[in-house]
Amino acid sequence: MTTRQNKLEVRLELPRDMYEAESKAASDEYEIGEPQALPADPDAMEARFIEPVTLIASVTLMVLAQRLLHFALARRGAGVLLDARERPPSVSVLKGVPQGFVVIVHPDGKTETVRADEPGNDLASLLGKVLK
Amino acid sequence: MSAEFNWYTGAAQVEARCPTALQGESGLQPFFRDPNHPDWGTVLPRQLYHESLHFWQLASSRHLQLLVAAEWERLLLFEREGTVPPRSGQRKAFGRVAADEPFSVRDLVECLARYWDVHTRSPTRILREEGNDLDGRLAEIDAMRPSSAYASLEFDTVMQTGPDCEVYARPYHWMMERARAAPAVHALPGYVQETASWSVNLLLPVAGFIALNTDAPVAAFVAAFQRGLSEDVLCAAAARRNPLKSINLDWLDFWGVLAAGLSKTLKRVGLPTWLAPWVGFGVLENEAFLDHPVYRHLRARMTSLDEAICNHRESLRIQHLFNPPPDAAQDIDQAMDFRAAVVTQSDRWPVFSLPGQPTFRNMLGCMFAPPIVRFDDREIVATASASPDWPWPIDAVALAAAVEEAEARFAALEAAETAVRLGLPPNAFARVTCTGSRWIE
Repeated sequence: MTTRQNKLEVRLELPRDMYEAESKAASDEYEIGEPQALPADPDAMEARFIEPVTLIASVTLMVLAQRLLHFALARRGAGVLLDARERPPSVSVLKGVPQGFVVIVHPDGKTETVRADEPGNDLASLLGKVLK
Repeated sequence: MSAEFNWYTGAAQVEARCPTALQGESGLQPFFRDPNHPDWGTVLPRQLYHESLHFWQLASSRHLQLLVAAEWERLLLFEREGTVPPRSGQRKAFGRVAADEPFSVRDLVECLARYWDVHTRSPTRILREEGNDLDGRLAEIDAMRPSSAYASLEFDTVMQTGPDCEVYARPYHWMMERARAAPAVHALPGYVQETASWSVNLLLPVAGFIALNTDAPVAAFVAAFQRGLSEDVLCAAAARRNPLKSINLDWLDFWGVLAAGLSKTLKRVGLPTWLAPWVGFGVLENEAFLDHPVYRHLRARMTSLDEAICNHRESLRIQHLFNPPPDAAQDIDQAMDFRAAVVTQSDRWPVFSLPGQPTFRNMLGCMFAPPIVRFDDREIVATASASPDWPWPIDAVALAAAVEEAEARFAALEAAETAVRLGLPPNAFARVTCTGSRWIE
């Protein structure tokens, strides 16, 4: 059974419309904080009507793995990046990772990629090792 | 997906379903003829027009073309050598505000696109769609409003508020502040706020357009705008305004003198423009650019546009040779059309500089519809939107394939760049390719 102690904090960086969709997935195992606007990406070629936001989420490993796979597979033309060098770890769907990939940066800077659509990938146990 | 134009591939994306009336053989022509027709709904018009404007900016700005050409050459190098070359200086600088400048090139590009999409949609309509009554002032404006005109307060409000206004509004704020403080604006009759707004609206399209045809667009824009705010420019223009006080007629009446005068100013301060009829197609003849699957056809489109302009001018000449249309409210469309023919006599650039003029918008919609427009439920290839007299040199299947090829190749570069940034080998994401908006194996 999941308890409150099993949850960890992560910083999410998402477009606002995606945050609003995520709010509907919130539960006891996935608590979502208040969003704050992020400045426009200076490297973007166009403003794109996207409003990036950042927020702290408190989430179990199992739900985090599910959401990462969901972010990576959502048809937005972008994958997902989890950077465990930061505290709290950050999860970003605004950066240039190709759709279908979960890229994990370990606390020591080592990187690892997971194909979200690969059957049998055990993202939850990998996250357990990376975020222990 | 959000609305966007991909500068490197020519693909435009809008967040709306494709209306039935645009699914016919004439592609987007009905939209560009009547961009506010109720059949298009409220979301589509501004997005489709805004993203199309970016393609027109690319087709007419040497600065943007050089930026894309540099990225294209970077892609060719990546494909040849397998390493990720650094981005060009122009690409790195595009979205960043330089220390001594008030905004970035991207801010200027976005401000210009917003300027035309707001003008074309009409700020009056946008405010109503957004439920904004300007704290009750909209009713006062309505009571005094000449037919189909909008007030400067409405336009300035829409230009300086709304989502992403930090990007779009920065140059407009900056211009309004400068204009309100300019002695020439205070010397003009009328309220300072209104004359400041008129000055900004007169100068922005010309100064923005010529600035995007220099090496340093923001510095050039600042210099051109400051020159435009001087008494000899503004007071002369105000004294010669059309009796209808129509900004559309102002643009057409003053484009030639403003573009030439501001270009001279920029040359004096060491920022010469590449704009001149005798320059030819410039970067469109760049050898690397001519290899681009989509943009290799731009030169042919420009030739077609020149022919269409000549054709249009000739038909108007015959129509109005002995009978020029008067500047009367009921004849304003003809007055605009007549002036449009006059101002394009010496070169094609007013068409791109003033894309909010209905005649020019129509021409650009036929000649320069974005190579592919993706709606939520289908896509329209530019060949469908082209006038039968001036078709694209390739068919719809080939053009769609060309866009998809460009997308796949740029996506591979972007994936390699991201992989390298994350400490992975450049080919870490190489197992996938992008086709259209989908990633597949």
